[in-house]
Amino acid sequence: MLISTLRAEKKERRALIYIVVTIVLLASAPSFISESLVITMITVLMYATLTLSWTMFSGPTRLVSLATAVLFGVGVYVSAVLRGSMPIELIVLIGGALAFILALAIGVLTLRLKGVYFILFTFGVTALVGNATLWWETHVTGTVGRHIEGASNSVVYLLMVIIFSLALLAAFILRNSAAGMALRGIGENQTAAEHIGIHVTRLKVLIFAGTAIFMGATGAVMATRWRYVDPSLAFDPLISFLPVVMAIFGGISRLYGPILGTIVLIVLREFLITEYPYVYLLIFGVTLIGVVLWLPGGLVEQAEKLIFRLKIEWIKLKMRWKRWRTA
Amino acid sequence: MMMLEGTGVTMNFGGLVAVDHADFKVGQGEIVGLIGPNGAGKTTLFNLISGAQTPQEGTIRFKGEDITDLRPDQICRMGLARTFQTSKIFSEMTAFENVRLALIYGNPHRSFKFKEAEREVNQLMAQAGMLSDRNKAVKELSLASQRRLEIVRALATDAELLLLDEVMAGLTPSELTQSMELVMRLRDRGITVFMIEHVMQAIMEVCDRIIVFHFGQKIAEGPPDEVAGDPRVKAIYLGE
Amino acid sequence: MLETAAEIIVTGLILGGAYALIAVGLSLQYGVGRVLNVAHGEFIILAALATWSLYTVFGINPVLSIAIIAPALFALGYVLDRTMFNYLRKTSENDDHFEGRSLLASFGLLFVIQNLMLLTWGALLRGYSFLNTSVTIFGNRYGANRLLALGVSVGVSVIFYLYIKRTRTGKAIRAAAESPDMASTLGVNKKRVMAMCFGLGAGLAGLAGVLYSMMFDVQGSRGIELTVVAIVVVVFGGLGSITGSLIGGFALGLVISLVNWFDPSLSLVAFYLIFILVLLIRPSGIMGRQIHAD
Repeated sequence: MLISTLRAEKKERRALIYIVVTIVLLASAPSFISESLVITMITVLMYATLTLSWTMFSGPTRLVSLATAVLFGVGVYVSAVLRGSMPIELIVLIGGALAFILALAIGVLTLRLKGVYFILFTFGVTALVGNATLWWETHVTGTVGRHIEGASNSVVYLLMVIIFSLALLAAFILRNSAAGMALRGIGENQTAAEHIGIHVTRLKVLIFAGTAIFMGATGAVMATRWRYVDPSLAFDPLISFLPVVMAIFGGISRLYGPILGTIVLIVLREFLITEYPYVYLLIFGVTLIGVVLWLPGGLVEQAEKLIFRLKIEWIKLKMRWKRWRTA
Repeated sequence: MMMLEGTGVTMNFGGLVAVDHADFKVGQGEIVGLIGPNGAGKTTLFNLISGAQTPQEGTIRFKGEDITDLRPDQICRMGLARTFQTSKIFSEMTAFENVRLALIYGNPHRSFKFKEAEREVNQLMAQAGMLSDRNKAVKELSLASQRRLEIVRALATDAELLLLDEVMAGLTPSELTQSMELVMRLRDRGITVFMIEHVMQAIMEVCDRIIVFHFGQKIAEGPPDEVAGDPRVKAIYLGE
Repeated sequence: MLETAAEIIVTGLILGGAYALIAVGLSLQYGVGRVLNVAHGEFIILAALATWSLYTVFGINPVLSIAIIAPALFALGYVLDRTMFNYLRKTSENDDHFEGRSLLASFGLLFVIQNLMLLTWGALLRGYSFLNTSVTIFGNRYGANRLLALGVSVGVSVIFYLYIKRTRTGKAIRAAAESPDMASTLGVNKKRVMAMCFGLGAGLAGLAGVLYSMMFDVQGSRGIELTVVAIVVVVFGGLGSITGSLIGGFALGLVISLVNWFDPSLSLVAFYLIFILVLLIRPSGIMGRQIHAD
């Protein structure tokens, strides 16, 4: 009777060890990798955090959020406005907090309605906030393009490692908690979830807003790397779209899926942008369609199928070896 | 005090009246059956009671309190649970996980946390004879077991009134007997049952009282023998 | 005074006609096919760019282009549905599963089409002038191309409305929208109706694109803006109601025209504000009805 709990606990403990090891490796990396690799890692960490945060909510609930760009962009603008007047750590926190509030508003507005409204609204909200910011920057403050005092690569890298690590831990905790299971129940059948006592709207709104914190914090950090922002850069729709592709491609059934997807696609993107800059969206699009149609579980499912098949081959090999020995 | 009481409950969709000024009562400890031809508004009535939909007119009271406008999760935590005609168990989880989720969220009287729930879940499943099935994926369970799981899940929320929506449909004769025994055992534990059924054997043998619905209106009510002999009831079934 | 009112109204109708045309295609694809086609705006831009090419390279009159481009886009939409979305329908466990997957697939489509447009037409603005002469109505001057667009959008809206309400195929479409399974037991070929509706939606996007190119310069990356406009109009008119998108489009056009008259810089804000208000107060929109009770 206790075996099932023990086995589950063992799996959890193993995952936690992997997570801790990953974090330690990431934190110590700058001491043994080149500067240019650190710069690439910053981009990887940015998208990995966004993808992971996106997956935390949209994965189990199956409610595709396209608000990532807006929540990220809010953080960017917090940095743009406050940079220089307070320490960067505080700015990052405020960026996360503001993104939380915006996500709360979006959630309260649309998560009480049928799922399609949420998807549609998050698609439009990027344009809404982007245009509103442009209007504000043009008519009120007159500062359409803003220059931001940069931060050194090592500072940016370190901050991103911290934010990513926190997001990873949050994702891990959520997955194995009652709330995580409740979200999956909501995603599978919201009516059933309601009828076993889950306050569906409240849970959805809270988790959605919670994941937004990481997005806003990431935006605040990345602004110091970009050093120049304007509404079209901060609220670039691609920042909403790419995490979706990365998560689906990597596979959302496992914790590491979105991260795997991010790494592969960022590497691919870096390669494509230098060699074939005019087709990288095309390849991403075809990849997404291919995955949706034929590989619904993403890389993770393919990797697990492969491992399973390898295990079977290994067992067959061992049996043949035994037979050869005893013959 | 009545366990469940509805007065003038009305629900219409566009021009279609699904439930037409219905009055109904379920007393504590009763097993009441709700029958009627397809489309008579029975499931809609259950939806209105459980909070999945809100009636345009009328009041519904549970244990004396007005639940007409409450959300399903609020109603569930008050002690009213239901099953669904098209099974709504979470097929991507195991049976155990299904019950545990209901226990954590729907049971306002529990004092333990998520990880400590194992003992309680096992107890609940054992009571329903499902202990050996608990770690199975839902897809591996037979239809009868899935139905049973849905009932167990509802019970995990510490329900005092259980709405069962056609739990006996499509069962083999032995499964049917087991199911009927389960319902009787529920009453022995003090749980009130309100059940929609088409399987007449179950209705006649298990229910204390039957309510008959047609075109959203209650057209007959009473003990099984009385209702079975009612010419109006016979008419609507023979006229099908 | 009367002149101002006339100007607001006519401009409103021109704008509204554009809104209605842009929205009704999307509404059809979601209302019947249950496909949330986020690539809708890309279809419009594709048509616009194609019109530009036909005009500047082959000298084909944009009005005639409609006869080429709208059917071409219809065919494209039909094929896409018959292949990709039909496959998704067959392999999805339920409606929600399908909606999620088809959303992601149309996402991929967005990338693909946008990139193809970039490769074919480059990143620059493409524009041409056509029917730029002004016409005076009720004392105000309007571009002839805009009036033409108004005429076409009103005409198409009326024809479409009658088609949906009166003809047998139109009724089949409505039946499929209400309840696809019921419809197939009544002998309606579900696959064909779905593909036709998606194709029709794409064809209407094509028409909208041709008209768009007459009035504005086109850029390959502008598709998303148009999709957002379509979304706002569809929600305003009522998700799932095709006539709602038509009426909602014209109504919204008039409202925005009014706001525009007061303060042009506020019109975009007003547009989005209406979106938020609809979601707050009446999510089912003007003509909305509960299409799927959970």
